[in-house]
Amino acid sequence: MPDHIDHIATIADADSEAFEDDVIPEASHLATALFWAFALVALVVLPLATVPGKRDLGWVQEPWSWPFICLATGLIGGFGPLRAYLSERRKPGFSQRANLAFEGTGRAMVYAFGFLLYIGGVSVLGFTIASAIFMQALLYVSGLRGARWMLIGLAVVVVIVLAFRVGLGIWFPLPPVMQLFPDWVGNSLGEYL
Amino acid sequence: MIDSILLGFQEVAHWQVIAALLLGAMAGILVGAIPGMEPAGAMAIALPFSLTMQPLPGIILLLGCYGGAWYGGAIPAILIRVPGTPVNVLTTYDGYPLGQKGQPMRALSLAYSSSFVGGILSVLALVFLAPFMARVASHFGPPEFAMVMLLAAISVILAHHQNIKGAILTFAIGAFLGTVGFESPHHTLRYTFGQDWLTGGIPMVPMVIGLFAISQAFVLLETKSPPKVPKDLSSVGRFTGLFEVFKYRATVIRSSLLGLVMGLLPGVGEFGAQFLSYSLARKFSKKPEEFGKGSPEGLVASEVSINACTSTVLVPLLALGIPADPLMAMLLAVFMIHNIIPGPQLFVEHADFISGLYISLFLLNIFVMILLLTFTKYVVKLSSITPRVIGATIMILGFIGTYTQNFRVTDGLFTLVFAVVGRFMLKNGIPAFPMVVGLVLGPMLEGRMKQALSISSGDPTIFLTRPIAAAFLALAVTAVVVFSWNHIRHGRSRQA
Repeated sequence: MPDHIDHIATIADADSEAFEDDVIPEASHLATALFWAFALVALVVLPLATVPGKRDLGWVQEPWSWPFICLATGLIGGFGPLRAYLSERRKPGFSQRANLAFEGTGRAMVYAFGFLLYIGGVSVLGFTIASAIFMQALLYVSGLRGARWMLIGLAVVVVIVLAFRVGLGIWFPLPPVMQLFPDWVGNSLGEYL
Repeated sequence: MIDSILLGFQEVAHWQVIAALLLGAMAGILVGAIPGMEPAGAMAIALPFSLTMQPLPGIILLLGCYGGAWYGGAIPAILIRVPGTPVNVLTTYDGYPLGQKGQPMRALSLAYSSSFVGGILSVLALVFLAPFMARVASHFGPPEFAMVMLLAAISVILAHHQNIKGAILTFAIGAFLGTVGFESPHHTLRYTFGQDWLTGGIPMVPMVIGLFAISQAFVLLETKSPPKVPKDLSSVGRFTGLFEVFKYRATVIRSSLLGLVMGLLPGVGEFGAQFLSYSLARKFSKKPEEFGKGSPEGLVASEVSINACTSTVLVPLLALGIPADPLMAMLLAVFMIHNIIPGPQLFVEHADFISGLYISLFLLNIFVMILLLTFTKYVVKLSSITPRVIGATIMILGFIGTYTQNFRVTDGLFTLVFAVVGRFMLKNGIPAFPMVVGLVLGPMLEGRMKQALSISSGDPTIFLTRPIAAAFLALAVTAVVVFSWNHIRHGRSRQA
């Protein structure tokens, strides 16, 4: 989205580059080519991924027909960016710009990995403890460090727990970690943890 | 008629509906007021909770997130020149300069009032258009529905004209993902590779949470500085817009009509409506030179048209059962889980629900308006919350939404995959909306196509011999031909 607008809008602006996010064409072509490759792989494995129908109801009713139509449409419709990618990939500097398609993906993967650990953590530590740890980790990794941010993170988790666990009564199974504590801990704190 | 209205009031007079109205309105305003958050993300997070509610409050909660955001999006657009949602971009043109002239509250009040007028007119249009369209649709059979769905699919793809090839590809991949799992009429499994967790197909909730909420959280976690908002906002002038908006009656009527019509077209909606509306308002204005420099008329034109779309987008969903965008697909999920099937029969079998929905939509606009006129001063402060804290909060809320539906780890994994894919798409300008529409619309289209071809014993001319189906097919073909022609012409003129 543009942060500086220096002219008067007309309908033509809806198509203008000023209203597009900063997308690098080479990167966009590479990204589209990857989706295209996914569709191609899905089409190649089609015979292995479907079985023929037991009754003869015509090809349209066959289990393979609709995935085939979808994937073929996608492959034909999305061929343009792939062609652009293939024809331009030997130009100087192209790969460098195309590889910007992955910019930010590494960080996203780090957060995604954290999310994966969080999912596992909830089933062991329970929702509240896992959320508190996850929140602190996210704030730390994103650069918000120090006691102030730790307290803010903790406060956010408390609000979430009060709103969802206590307010809306959203249920989570009692975490196994509770077995390490006396019964009264699980009985009294279970609904919050 | 009177009976239906009274039954509608009875539906609305329930604490869950009132709570959903308030919560939805507040959530929507906050989503709009905080730059970087989008209604799709908020709706994705709210979706799992709305599925556990009664149908009306569930729908209203989602519609609150959706409708409230367009109102709230005007706040940062006017105060800090950052559109709260992507559709508030033109609000910055005149809203911000008007605010800079020392009248920020007047600008906000005018924006709210314009949104309110557009929103109320949109509900009125829904009340009249939906039953009419449903009556027409009651004559539809599988071939007609198949062709309407085809037209909707093409319309959604063409709406992404800036990356049409990407839109075709992602729609097709979405429709393909919709084929995963159990299939009929042969009752076989497709693309499950013996994995039980794929038998039910690709679940929509983790997909939308991943694509729209968590991917947005990834971006927010990398956003360093919060925008600076004015610290002291005077309340003087907060009611002036209520009267001022009617000074521009012609603009209000023109922009409303444009918004209402654009809302009916799948995938086009608010973004197209505001540009056309703004452009025409300037053309017919007595003071066109003021546009872009703080023209109240320009502000009215963009805000009215945005909100005039908000209820008419429901017409294809309610009358035909066709979700024209991911937001409508989420609403469809709430309908389906309560066994309320949108389409012509909805108006006969659930007349009380429909009346309740209409009344709730009126109330929603009123609630949002009251909240904004009363609490703008406090809402403004939320615009300066550190984006990284919002991102981290969205991650946890996204987890709650994903995991508590079925307590399946695989749902979390789906969310993760779609979140990374969504971030990748966002970065590279590949539209994610068609993928979700494809996931929902694809299986519906497949079912109707197969039904239609069963009726005709496999003869595809059934789509040409039935007049209504043929008309929809002709519209779809015309849309593609006109688009292609313009595309080629535009390409040639660029080369020249």
